[in-house]
Amino acid sequence: MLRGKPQHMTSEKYKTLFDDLYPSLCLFANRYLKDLDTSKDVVQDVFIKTWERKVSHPNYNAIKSFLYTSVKNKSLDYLRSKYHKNTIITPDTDFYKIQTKEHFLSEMVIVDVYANLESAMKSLPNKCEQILRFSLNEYTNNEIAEELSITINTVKTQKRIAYKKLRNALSHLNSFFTFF
Amino acid sequence: MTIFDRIYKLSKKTSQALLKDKSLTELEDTDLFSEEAKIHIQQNLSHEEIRKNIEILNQIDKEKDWKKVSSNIKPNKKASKIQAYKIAASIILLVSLVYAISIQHSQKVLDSKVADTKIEIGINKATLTLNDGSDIFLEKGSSYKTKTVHSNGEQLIYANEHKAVSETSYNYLTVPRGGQFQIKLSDNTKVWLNSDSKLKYPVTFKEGEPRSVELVYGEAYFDVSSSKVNNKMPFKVISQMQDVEVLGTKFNIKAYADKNYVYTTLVEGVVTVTTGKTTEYLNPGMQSILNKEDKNIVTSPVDVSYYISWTKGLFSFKDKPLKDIMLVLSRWYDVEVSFENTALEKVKFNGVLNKNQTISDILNGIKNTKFINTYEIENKTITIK
Repeated sequence: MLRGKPQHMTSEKYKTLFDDLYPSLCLFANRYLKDLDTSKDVVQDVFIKTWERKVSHPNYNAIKSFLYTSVKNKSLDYLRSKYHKNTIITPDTDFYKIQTKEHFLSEMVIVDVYANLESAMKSLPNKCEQILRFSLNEYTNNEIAEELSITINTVKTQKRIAYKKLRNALSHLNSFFTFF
Repeated sequence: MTIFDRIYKLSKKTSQALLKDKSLTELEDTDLFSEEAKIHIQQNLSHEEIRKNIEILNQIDKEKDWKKVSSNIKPNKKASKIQAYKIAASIILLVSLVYAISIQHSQKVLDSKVADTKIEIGINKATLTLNDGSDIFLEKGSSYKTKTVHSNGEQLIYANEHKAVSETSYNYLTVPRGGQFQIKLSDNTKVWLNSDSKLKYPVTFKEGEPRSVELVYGEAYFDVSSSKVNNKMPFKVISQMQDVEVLGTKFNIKAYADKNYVYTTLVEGVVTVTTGKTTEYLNPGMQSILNKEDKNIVTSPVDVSYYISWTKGLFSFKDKPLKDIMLVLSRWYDVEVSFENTALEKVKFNGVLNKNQTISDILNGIKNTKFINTYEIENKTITIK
């Protein structure tokens, strides 16, 4: 767990936080902005501002929530300023809806699930992970076997191991977050 | 446990269920989300969506982007890209309607067809409906006087009385399209009513009970007399689907029957906006927007001057689509507006319009911005082309 105040956080620790949350925050911003490059700019900006402001957070979840909230606010600000141009815009009702708290929280759940699944996969041995990624890309067992020059039985066995390990990984999901 | 802790717990349980190929019971049973939101979440957790999004996660180069961040987290940094976007956006803001109108090019750009126009500038007028159902028409130049109320045709003033009344009698003031009116209630609260608006209020407020009026429809600006001089009785405005309660303050409510949203904008003091079980506190400079369909309330800071300028003889617009601007004008000039090209409805404008201008002056101003080609007026219908 993250203890103490971030002003005591070294830039190495800040890097660990960045590594852990940056990709999912970009994905999250992208769901508002529909543009990955702008999303990255928004998230980088939030990381810079958060470091500058030295806001104090009691634990990992608190700083994570703070970052998600900041990225959401920045993304909406960006959309609002974009709308200032005299251009044709999307209907107001959509923009109204994406500003609600419920929308924010449901997007957090969605992105957090993606991030959980991704980090669970990363925890697998290389071969398992590779096979699972093929499988997620809708490759059949046959195709995976061909691609990796292994037998179908190996594919099946590796998949079984992968799923078992994933289940274990997820039941200890919080352990991913204890390296602070 | 904070709401975020509950969110993380839910996403963890949901991730586990997905990997075990089990149904998402935790999500189905949670009270964190409405049914609509639950469906939205589930749709985004299909195999296809998960695959697509994990692919995006893998596209992101953490090391490369960390270099951009780390070079900026030492003292003395340059302005960020987002700030640059904001500056760019505000420069674009400078191109505004107010400029176009104040310049008023005398030469006409494209001939506008104006046939048989009877369109008049709005004036002070209203209909007062008494407790017995009789109507009295009030208009600039006419006057009306009884023991409890008098009017010079510009405003209606109730006598400041504190007598005990056994039965409350109500009056209605109805302002038609093309009109506006001011009223001073018996507790000295001042109310400005905009075009196409209706207010219901007691002739005398009952002692020892909350003061309560109803904005039946339309837009009104309230300058509420302090509860300190009214036996600490709060003042309440009932409008479509919401109640606003105050203790002496200035605020604007916009609640037209044909619109989906009710806007409450606070100028001074503190008010609470209540709908169903939800109560929001507004501080000065804040606006709440109630969605009449799902009863959701969103609050945000606004420049209040734009929302109350109508009480001062102006219409101010900031970043408003032409459709909304024309709707406001249609009430003041009592006209119908249609767009030949619906894309024009969404073009946004800034501007300050004097309510004493003719409709043609305003339309020419808009035309001079070159965002519309021309307009036509026939009878009481304006067509934007």
